[in-house]
Amino acid sequence: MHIIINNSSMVPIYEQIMGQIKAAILDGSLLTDAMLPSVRSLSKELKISALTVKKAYDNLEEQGVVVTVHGKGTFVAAVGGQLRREEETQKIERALEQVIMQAKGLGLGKNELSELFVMLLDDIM
Amino acid sequence: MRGLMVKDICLMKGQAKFMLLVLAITVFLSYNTDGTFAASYLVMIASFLGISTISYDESDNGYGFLFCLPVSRSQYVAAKYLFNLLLSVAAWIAGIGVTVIIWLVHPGESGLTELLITNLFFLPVIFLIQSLMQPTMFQYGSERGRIVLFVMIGVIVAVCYLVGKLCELTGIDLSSWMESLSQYSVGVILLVFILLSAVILLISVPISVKIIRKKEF
Amino acid sequence: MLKMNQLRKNYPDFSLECNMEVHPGCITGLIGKNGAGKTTTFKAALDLIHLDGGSVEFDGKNVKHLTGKDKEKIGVVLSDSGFSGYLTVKDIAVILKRMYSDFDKEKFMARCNRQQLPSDKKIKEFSTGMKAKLKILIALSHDTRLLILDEPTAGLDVMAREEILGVLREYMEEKEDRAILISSHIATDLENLCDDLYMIDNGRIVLHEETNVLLDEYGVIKADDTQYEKLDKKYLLRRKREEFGWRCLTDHKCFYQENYPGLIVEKGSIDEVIMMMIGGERL
Repeated sequence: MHIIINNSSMVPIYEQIMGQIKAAILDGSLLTDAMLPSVRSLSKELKISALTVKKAYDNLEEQGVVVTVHGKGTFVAAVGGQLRREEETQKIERALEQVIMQAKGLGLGKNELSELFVMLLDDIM
Repeated sequence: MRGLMVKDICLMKGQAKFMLLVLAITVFLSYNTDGTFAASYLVMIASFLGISTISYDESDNGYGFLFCLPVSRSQYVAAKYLFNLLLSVAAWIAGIGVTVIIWLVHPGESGLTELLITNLFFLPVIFLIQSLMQPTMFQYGSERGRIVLFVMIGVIVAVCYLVGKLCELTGIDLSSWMESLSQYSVGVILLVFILLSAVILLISVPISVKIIRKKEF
Repeated sequence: MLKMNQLRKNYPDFSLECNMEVHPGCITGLIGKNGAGKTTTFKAALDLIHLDGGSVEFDGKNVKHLTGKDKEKIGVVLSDSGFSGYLTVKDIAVILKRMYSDFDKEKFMARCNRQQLPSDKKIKEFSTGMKAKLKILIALSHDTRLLILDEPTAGLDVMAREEILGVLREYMEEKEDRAILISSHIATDLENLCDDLYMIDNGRIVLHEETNVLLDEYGVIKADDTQYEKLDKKYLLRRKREEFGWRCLTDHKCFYQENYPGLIVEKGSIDEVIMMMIGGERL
């Protein structure tokens, strides 16, 4: 995994780092229990202040994405699946929104749509 | 402190050629002069060389960095005293060596023992020079210090002269007092001088330390 | 690790008053123009001058009472002072061996070689860049916990500067609780290296901020007179009259980005922040 920082972006650097780490977990290039580079070595690689990296790591830990073991390092928490699930759930939510908008446009009422949905659910699941 | 002395030795390395030249001149000049020339000349040169280590330290704001190294002010002073003493004593011994060798090759009027004893009196002189020179150099730096030193020596000579004149005027008989001293053996007189001058030297050390401590870099 | 409490030093035409702290694991930068008080601050930290008030502590001990062993743990680069120019690198290696108990002579000579520093030439004949590199190698030649560096990259070209910064980052990587106090004119160096920055002007600290906050949250607003009138001045720190209107410094650039669409809000570079903090009108 290689993180690239855009210095001219308005997005704070620590947020860029967080975003890229999460993306790496999502696409599988960072696996669960993988060790992230140490704060000092990442700050050396990116040529930024160590506190910025620490802020990113601390925030990720708060969100439950990583776990820091004192004296050992920072590790990817078993959230790969969770992150993927969140992402996929969001996709489903968006798809459902679209369907509802379409139904609305057609003039379908809430009850009709609900009945349709429950019927299909019973068939498939 | 060892580091400081090594530093001064490294700086002296550059003067090696000069020192050899001085030695050669001394040998040449002392061939026909009395037996005290070699030692006194070499000790004087050694004192000047000693002063130059202070000017090396001063140059280019060197003191600032020097005291960032793991040395205390008092260690610095101790190292300077030690280095200067060793240099002067080495010069003194070399001077005696030259005198003895020349005497063996070309004996003069005085006997060897007499020659040696006269030269021994230089040791307290070394101590006195150092006890005057070090605090002056530390206080005024090497440039102004040299001038101050000459002025001090001038004042001492003048005072001695005045005291002599005073004695003449008031009728105090110095020469008979000096003669009465000669009843003591030379060894005792020598010892007294050495001890006195050593005490003065030791007193000058804390004075030097105090001077250096007060300085800002 | 290094703490300056109510430091005060008075000179006839200048006085210094500051509070500063360097924490273990941090690289702290000190930035200011010539004569602002950077070197005086360093000299106070190194017990080279007497203080008119306050104290400096290294690991809780007053720097006036540091022993030789304590001083071995501090590596120093001073901008205007160093070993005598009449010494050679070889001489210095011999001297350092007698001064520092953990000085590694082979390693030192090897590093000097790598930096192409001749070992038998008197250092007064070195170029500015070579002298600067040597000073840093000397400071790094023994195991230290704190580096105090006064303009270590002065006189170095961009490549050499990058190299030095890299060396300093490696230094911090080797041991977690090390710290560096570094001063410079060159803001970009400090931007990419330091964790927090102190800005000093006229003997006073005008700003102390973490670098990431400076880069992420500080911003420069460029507004014409009309726009300026409408601005909520709450988060503006400084302002400066310009041809086009007003240039303002804020430490909450998102507030202005969110509430004033169309307003020009730029990321604040360290240089700009300094210029505004020192040269701008206080609000």
